[in-house]
Amino acid sequence: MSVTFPFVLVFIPYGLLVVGLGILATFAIYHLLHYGATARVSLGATIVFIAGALFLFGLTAEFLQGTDWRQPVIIAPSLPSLSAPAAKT
Amino acid sequence: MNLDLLIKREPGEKMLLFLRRHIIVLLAEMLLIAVLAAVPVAGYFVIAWLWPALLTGPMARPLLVLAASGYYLWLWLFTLTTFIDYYLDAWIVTTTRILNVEQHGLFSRTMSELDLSKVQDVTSEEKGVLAFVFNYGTVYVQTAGETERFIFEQVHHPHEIRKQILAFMEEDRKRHAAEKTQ
Repeated sequence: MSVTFPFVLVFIPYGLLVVGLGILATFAIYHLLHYGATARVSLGATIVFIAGALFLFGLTAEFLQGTDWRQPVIIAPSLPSLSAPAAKT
Repeated sequence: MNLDLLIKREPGEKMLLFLRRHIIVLLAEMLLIAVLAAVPVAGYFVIAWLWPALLTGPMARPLLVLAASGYYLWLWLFTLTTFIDYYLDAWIVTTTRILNVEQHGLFSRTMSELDLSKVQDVTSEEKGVLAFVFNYGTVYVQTAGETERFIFEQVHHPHEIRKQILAFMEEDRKRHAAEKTQ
């Protein structure tokens, strides 16, 4: 028995990763802006972080151009056959 | 640092010292992050050498790109939290007290304070070659309590800071004595 799904579903784990990153980044930026010594440094670090993250997303999109996301992924477990070997004639 | 965000200031209380860890400590952590950033690049060359087909495969290539993207995004977040950990850790000496502000990761923040009048002993030390070369070290501020003490970790010019704190303590004692006589 095999399982087939479109390749685009690989974005689900990636999306979860990005959502987790987004939540933690929000906490981090909140800490930085709320408790930071100077608004200039805190704001600067926040801008650099967001710009870097956007750059990474852009680079990822660039590298993924031309990928066929509709191609099927077939997972077929290669289980050893339990049937008796065919008799030689 | 906006002191009013941290404490309720007494009348006339001024910030005398604002201390952070030496910048070299942050740079050492950034060096580690640079090494971690080089890992996928090394991985790329290993794959190109051993399994070159993976880099052009219709599925393997996008998967590798997404894995690398996730890795770098999390490393970038780790860089930010390392900076925050450095930037938000501080020791503040005011005319009446010492404040210890520590950020532990993203969800833990400790703030403690002690009166300058309760300080009994201040010790400074520089340990190791790097500390000696870059002139950073630890300052221990011992209070009248049995075990309570503040530790200023990896601060620049620790011996100078010790002398300054001792001078501030002396001024604080004089001020208290003057207040009593009035």
